[in-house]
Amino acid sequence: MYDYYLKDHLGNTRVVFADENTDGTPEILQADNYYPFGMRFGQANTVNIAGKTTEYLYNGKELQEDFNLDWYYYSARYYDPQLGRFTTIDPMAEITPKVTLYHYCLNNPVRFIDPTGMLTAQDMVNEAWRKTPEGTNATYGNSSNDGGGDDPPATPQVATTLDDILSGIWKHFGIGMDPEDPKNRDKIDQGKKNVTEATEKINELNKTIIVNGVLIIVTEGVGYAVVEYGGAVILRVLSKAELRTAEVAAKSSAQIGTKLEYVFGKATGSAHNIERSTGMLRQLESVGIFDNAAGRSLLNSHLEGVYNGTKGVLQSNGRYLRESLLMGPNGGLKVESIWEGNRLITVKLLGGR
Amino acid sequence: MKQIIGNRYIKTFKFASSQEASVFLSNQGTKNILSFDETFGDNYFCYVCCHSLTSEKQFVLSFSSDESEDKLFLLFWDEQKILVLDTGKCIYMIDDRLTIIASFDITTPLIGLFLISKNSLLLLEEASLKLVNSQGEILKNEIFDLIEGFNIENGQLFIETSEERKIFELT
Repeated sequence: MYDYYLKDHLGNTRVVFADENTDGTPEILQADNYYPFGMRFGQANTVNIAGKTTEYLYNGKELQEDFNLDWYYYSARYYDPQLGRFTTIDPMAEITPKVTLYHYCLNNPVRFIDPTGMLTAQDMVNEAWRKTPEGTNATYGNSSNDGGGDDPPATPQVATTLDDILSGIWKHFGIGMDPEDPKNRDKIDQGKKNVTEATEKINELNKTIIVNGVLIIVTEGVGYAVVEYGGAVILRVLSKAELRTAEVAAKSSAQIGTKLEYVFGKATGSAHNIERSTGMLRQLESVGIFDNAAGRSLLNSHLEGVYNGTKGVLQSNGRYLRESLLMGPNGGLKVESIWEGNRLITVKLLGGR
Repeated sequence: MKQIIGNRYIKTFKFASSQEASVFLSNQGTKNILSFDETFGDNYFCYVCCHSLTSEKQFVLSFSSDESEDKLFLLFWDEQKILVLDTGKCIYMIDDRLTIIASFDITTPLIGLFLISKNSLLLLEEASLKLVNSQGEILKNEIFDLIEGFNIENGQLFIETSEERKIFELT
């Protein structure tokens, strides 16, 4: 016999039912109501038959009743619904610097959820709205505008880089920061670094990740895109079609992987690698490209541009050689990059020093 | 310091233009010259092989390369009387009559040339390998991701990339 859970748009368990006596008519085993921040209404509103209860309640998270604390377990942290605050600081606090370290869902628990205790995710309102005829063709941008059903339909699209997302938010909503403004570059580079660090942290929790400029987290069949919204970084729920599009985009974009470490002198291992790696760093430095966020961003963009912009020369082993000119503040280098499909294999620099 | 192998040593000359290299070649006074005209590099090299006792010129090799002198490989495969020359873009197997037996394109930077047995030579690149015999036939041809570490032991090549570890039989 199975127990069935009815949940609302936030994933809150509202009703648990089952056909206990197998007469074809389900019996309600448990019913729960919640205040916005997760406290349950009094016991009077909870129907409990045959002593069966579920502890997976607010947001579907497990209620911990030990020591009468009544905290919810959110993987990375415990949440106290009486206070509307997490009980410990946010392990990813550096990417939401404008809000308190203990905040729950940017103090907007009706709209957002926090699936891991680390990042706020847009609630399921938009997801439910997308399933309506009006919402079917909505883009992320429209659906995340105000969460309502009045947004005009538009062609679905997937932002492929953090710059695209920031640019889209800036153009459509006039909030956030304009990525084309040089004054914002440092902040955006820091944002990218934060996304990378977030990736590592979520990796530690053994979640499946697709990185394609945008960090996409896939867990329990649901995809989330890490985006900036309203001055904070949130998780935005992806539809399955959008997730598939993102996966395809991830597979077809340039996969540079850890090769930048090699080019910037960080190789370990064989003497050949160390010599080549430090040699390439010297070449880059001689033209004014240094191992910092700006230098890495420049080389990364250059390699992505080379992959997208040139077909290259087919080698006898099926790989492609692409040649390009990398210009730094103090001169240029010839870059020979070897690609297998969309995967960068190695790089050779000529000139400089 | 001269490296003498089988009473032979190589003197390397580097030139900045093809004209300088041509003049140098024409002044060598030997007919045993092998010139690679289609190597298209910025640096022009002439390898002059001399006898270590008599200083007699035995042969001269001429080619151009984008690589610097210290990154080019030259291997005397004595048992087969073959010279293996690396020009930075191609590897040539040359016999003692200066006939090119075979040539192999270098697709990624060359790590090294390794004699595995009397009749097999390993050309190990950063992301591929070729095992060839003395006739220039390719016995094994493999590609992989960028090598981070490798070891050759008991006829086996162990490689480690960022994604995997592999073992190749070289015998």
